[in-house]
Amino acid sequence: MRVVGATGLTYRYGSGRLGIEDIDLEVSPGEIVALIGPNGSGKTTLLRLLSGELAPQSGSIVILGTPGSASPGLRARIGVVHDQTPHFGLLTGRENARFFLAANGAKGPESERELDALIDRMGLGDAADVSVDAYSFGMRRKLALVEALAHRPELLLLDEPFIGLDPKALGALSAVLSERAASGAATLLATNDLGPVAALCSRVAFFHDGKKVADASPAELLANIGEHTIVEVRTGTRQLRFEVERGASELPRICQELVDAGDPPESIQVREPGLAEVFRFLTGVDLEDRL
Amino acid sequence: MIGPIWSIEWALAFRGRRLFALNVLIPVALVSLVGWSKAPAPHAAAVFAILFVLFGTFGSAIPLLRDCENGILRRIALTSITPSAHLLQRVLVGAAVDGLQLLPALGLAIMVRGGGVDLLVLAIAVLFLSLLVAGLVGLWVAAFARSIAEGALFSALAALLLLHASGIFRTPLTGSWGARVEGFSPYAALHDVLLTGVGTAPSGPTSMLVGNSGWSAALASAPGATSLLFVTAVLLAATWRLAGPLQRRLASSP
Repeated sequence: MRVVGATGLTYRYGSGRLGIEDIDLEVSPGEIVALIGPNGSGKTTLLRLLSGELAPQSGSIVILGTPGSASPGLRARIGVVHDQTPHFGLLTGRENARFFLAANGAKGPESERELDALIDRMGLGDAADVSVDAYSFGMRRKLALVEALAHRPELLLLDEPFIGLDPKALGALSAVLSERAASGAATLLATNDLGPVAALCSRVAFFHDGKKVADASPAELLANIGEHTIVEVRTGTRQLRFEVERGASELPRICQELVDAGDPPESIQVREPGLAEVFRFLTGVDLEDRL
Repeated sequence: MIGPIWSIEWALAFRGRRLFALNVLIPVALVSLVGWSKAPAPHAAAVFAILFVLFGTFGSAIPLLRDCENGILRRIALTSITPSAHLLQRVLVGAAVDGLQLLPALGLAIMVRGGGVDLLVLAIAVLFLSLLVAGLVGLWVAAFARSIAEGALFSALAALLLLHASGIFRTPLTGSWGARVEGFSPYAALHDVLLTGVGTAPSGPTSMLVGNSGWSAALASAPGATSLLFVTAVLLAATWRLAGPLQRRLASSP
């Protein structure tokens, strides 16, 4: 059974702005799929449609074998993290998390143990009994992730899950998502933080102007770009980036041209292309410039 | 009816101690000022009724709109709690908390001019139902407001119109349209009980008997109580039936 099956999804906001257009997407149990694209490319709209917050204007959705937008009964099997993570500020982190646990139909000591374990793993153990009003942005993001994960959903819809996380929490989240994937849960995450994506995600879907422009494994996407090499040069006055086809063999020519121009390089970094370069290669748009 | 929403709203009400204390003390101060003044009994009863109804209507609409603005309502809408369970639990717990906060003020309003404990018991029941209606009105008002300011304006308008229809500001002539409307208005019972509490005979079309005791007040406010129960049932049924669209409106605004 597919966890997500979306066909021909289109959504346009009341203002006339296109959210997404004719999106097909299938997600199987155990997959972690990253949705990547500049701001306004349709990632969040797709997550809002799948979570049942928005209703598609055309196309169809099947979530966990059930056609149509997620109903309250189905939502107990879905974990959602929004781009914004409001909480009950007067209550403690643990009280907030317990509320969302109960709101998603999870009860009993096993659920409580799972919740406490997640709180500890995400590094909130010491702050769990402090009111959320005293939390930093990153702590609130961690708490929202705990709340989305605690009822052991079969589908996770995470909007910018890596924002605000310290390296330890980032590692913990990656580990939890991998464990959940191993036990059959599917994850769809919208992000522009490409750091953890290649190692964590089994598939990457690129979005641009409301359309899906690519959908494949990170390795397959990287293979698209061929034998390119990225050369990043910092001079006294500027930072330059070159994509060259013949690898480091181009370096002497680049350096010579900079010296001739009176702006000699101060540092040079040569690296393999990443997903950001693949996105630019496929769309002609610089992902980072629009973040 | 006890569920996650009831539990969280109950906990929130008691966690904000300063606000809770203010919500108890300010009505007590107002009721004390009016109750021990030489204000004519009908005026005193009107002030008390206005205070309690505005308290209930604002107390429902404004926190709902605040939760819309900060996004928590959108998060709750994406859990497995059904819209009807969410909204009705919220209104019920709101009425219970408001009732608890107004209890000292109500006690003063009834007893300062000689009302007995039996009347107070009746007044508590009528107050709770009136607050339930005010909370439901506040919920509907919030669903149609696009900001907290609009919510405050609409709440005041809705509460004052219903108070007027309930004969709080003037007694309608027997047989007039106003008298017929009062027969279906939610706050006439509260007004009648408060009038009895301050020692005046309720004289509107909903009133039947004079007195300052619970039994006579029960008889006096019986027609008003019937309309209160009727309006409560209608509003509860409408909210239950339309909870989905109401919650969608709330979650997507402002």
